[in-house]
Amino acid sequence: MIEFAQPAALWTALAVGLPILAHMAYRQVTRKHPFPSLRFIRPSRIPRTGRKKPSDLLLLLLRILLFLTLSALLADPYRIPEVSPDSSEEAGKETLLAIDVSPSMQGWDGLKDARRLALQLIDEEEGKVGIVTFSQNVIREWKPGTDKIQLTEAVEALKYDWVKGNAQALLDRATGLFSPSATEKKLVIISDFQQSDWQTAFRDLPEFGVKVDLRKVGSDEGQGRRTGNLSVVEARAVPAGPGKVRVWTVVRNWDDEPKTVPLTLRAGGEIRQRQEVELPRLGSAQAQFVLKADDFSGASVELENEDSFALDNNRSLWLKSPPARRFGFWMSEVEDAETKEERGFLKTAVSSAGDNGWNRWDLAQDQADGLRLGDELSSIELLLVIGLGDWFEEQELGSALRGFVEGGGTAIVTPGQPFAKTASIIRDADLLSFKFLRVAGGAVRLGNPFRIKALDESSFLNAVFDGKAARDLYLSAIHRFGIMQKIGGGVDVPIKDREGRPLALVRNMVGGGRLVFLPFRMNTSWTDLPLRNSFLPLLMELSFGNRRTTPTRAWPVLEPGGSWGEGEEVFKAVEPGVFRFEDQWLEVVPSLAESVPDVFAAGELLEAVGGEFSSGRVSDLAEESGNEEREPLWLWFAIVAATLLIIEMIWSRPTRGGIKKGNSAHA
Amino acid sequence: MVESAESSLLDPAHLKGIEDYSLLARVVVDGAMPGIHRSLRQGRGNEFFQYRPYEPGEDMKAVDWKVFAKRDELVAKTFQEDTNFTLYLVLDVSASMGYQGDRASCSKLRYAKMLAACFAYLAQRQGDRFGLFAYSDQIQQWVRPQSGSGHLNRLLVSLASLEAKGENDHEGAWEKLSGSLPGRSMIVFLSDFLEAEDSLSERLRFSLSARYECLCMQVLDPDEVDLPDAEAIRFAEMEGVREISSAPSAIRDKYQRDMNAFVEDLRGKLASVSAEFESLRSDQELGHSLRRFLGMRNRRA
Repeated sequence: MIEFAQPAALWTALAVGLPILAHMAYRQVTRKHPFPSLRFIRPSRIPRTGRKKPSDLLLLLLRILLFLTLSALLADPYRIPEVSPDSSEEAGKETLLAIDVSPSMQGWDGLKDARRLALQLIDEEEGKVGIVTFSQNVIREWKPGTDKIQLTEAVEALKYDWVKGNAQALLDRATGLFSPSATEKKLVIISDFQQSDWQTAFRDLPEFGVKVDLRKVGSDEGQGRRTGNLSVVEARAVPAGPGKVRVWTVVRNWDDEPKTVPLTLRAGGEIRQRQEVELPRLGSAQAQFVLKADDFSGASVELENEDSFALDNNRSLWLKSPPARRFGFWMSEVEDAETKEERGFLKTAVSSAGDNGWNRWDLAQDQADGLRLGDELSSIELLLVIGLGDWFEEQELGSALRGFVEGGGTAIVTPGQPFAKTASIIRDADLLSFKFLRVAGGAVRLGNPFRIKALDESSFLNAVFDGKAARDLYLSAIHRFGIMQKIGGGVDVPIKDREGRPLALVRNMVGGGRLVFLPFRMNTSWTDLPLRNSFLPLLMELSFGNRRTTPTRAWPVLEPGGSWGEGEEVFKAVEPGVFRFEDQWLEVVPSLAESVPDVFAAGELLEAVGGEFSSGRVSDLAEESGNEEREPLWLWFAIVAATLLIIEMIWSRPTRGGIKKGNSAHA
Repeated sequence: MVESAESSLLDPAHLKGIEDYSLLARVVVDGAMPGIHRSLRQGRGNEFFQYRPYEPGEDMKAVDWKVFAKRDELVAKTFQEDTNFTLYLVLDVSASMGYQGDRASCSKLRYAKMLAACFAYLAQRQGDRFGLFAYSDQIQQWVRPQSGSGHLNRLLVSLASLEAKGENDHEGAWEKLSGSLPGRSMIVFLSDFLEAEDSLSERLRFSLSARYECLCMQVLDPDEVDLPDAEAIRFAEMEGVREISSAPSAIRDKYQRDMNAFVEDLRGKLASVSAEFESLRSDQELGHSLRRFLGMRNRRA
């Protein structure tokens, strides 16, 4: 049967009156005929309707048909394929049971109630019944009409999903699960209506002809709030001195009354420590366990007592320290005494940086060499380019260094001999822009050293070198250094000598990398800074200070449904626990949002899923759900209209012959 | 069979394809109507006609001495005798003469030109002098009367060049022509005579004289006789700007009555000045016209 997407356009069919009127007003338009003399010619009445030929009526019918076809074409005709005899038998009432299997359903007996209710509905509902389960997405579908035994088995096998729920996925999908021929469509949503799952869900389902029946399951004490839930919301391992590791954890009490609960630390399959935690009402408390490091690689923190929602009662974590950060050197292959001394100072300093070994630095010279050779897979975070000179230029390392810092790495560069060469290489590689004047110091380098000027209050180093630490920094002696002028834009000068001349240039890259250029070498012939306490903090602050986010060393923490990694190999978190993926250690924790005990009352969601459940519009539903099955007919109508138009034009064209054959043009 | 062959040769539908009026005249006169005219009178004249054996006793002036010198034989030259009779062909070539309806195979002008060519050819064969005067609102061709085959050719060429255009101005044309009419003339006037019945009889009053004879041949298209066959027509005047829309079926009877009355009126008025009148249709065969012409010419001769 032909239907129209724009039925209002059918009003244009009134235009068929035009050819009819034209036909009624038919008159023969006389053709000019030269004649020798009009002496005896008298004007006479030209007949209007007389002696119409049969072809005139046919032409009128043709024109009416043409107008009707054009009108139908404007109305965007389409055809819904005839329902086959088999499917017509299925037409009728369809009921779809949508069962929430988000993690929160496991608590407060939600899933248990849902099973019982679903089984009851399968028995009671008339017509065809189907099931759909959902959490963050629709998980499984049994379309209406599925055998009830199969549905019963499916309900009995229902299991909660670890992924945080999102009811919008159900609402988006639900209308497409009904068959287009269904005369009555009913969606029964069985859920605990947990707040985080439903707070953003919205779809006017009655608009699509679907009646909605909300069935709330799980215990509910009223006012949209459930009780009896405690959650382990945080657990992290941090170093706690030599050979020890501290497990720091946070427990949340969702109830309106304080509680004291036993908290245990399980490692190696046994409970290693237990302690009582006093939890305020609607608040959190911290707890700490200290373990020997290296005894266990992983552990879990657990609340011992059973509560209403058990899935958030424990949390697994790695006790292993995160991988060390890597640093390496680029220097001349011909290692002179100065370079060797400088390398030794820097290696010792960087290696000793970190948090008692938790955020440690490891020398990864192979990675630095790989980077130097152009190996894109080389991974290094700090690159120390010492004695930058001819070797750097000969090996054409300028672009590699720039690529490293632009890619997020940090590089510290010290000058080689002569300083002017270093300056020109840096400028040519477009790393920094400055003008080199001369090397200050020289003969008087030991007698009258240069000293660091007091830091500006605005300097990011100021907070670190405050108090006694500043004194050590300011007493540092710099025997010689390259004097730089006309520093280019985008370059910071964090430290200066007491005459205001730059003692370090820092350029922060867009990609998060940083280039630090020191106009002196970190050895005792240039400065006594490596011998001072302020050397290490100055070095690390110049390298990593003033970052927007200070990277904390921890394993990636994911929630179920999340993923880690890029490219083809991606870790997908399914359920909580600790996992190792390639060389990466990961922690997957339960979604905290599912622990929230707040729920919606069924009445609160009426607005979200349609307020008027009884006024289903089947035609609209067919339009929505049957779009893919709709067969557009506009092309056929266009072809018919064009054909009719051509016939009409041929038929009604003025005849070329004389007056005898056709002396008049049709109106 | 012979009659049908003759009549087909006289049918304008068959003659319309012959562009050469000289050929057309020979086809009509010699082919379709052999013997229609008197034999040529041979005698003294200027136009050489043929050789014949010299007969003793004849005037030696008739001997062609050049032939005698070549062939040693006496042959006499014969000349076409001048008849002292002049045929003046007067053609109306106004725009209305260009009309050709669906039923006619040629226009009125073409019909008139075919007749004129035949008349000229007959006149030439009779040894008459013949001339042409064609006009509309101005004189298109005026060929002064002469005799001979060369003159016939010139006249036929002039005849072929005539086109129907302009409004007719009978009075102006006859004003110019009447002053130069030679004595003992026969004027054949070919026209549709539309709008002319009042003034024309006055202009043709000269035919009352015994020296002149006037034959007025009205050429009408069949459409002019009983109107075209169509439901509605917007008639546009060919020699004016007037237009009238009408249904021929509605006015046909009245039109035919008016047209017949006009023709009869014209016939009467021309008869009053001793001018003969013949109304022809352009789909009519030429034989009748030729016989009428020759009858009148021989009567005069």
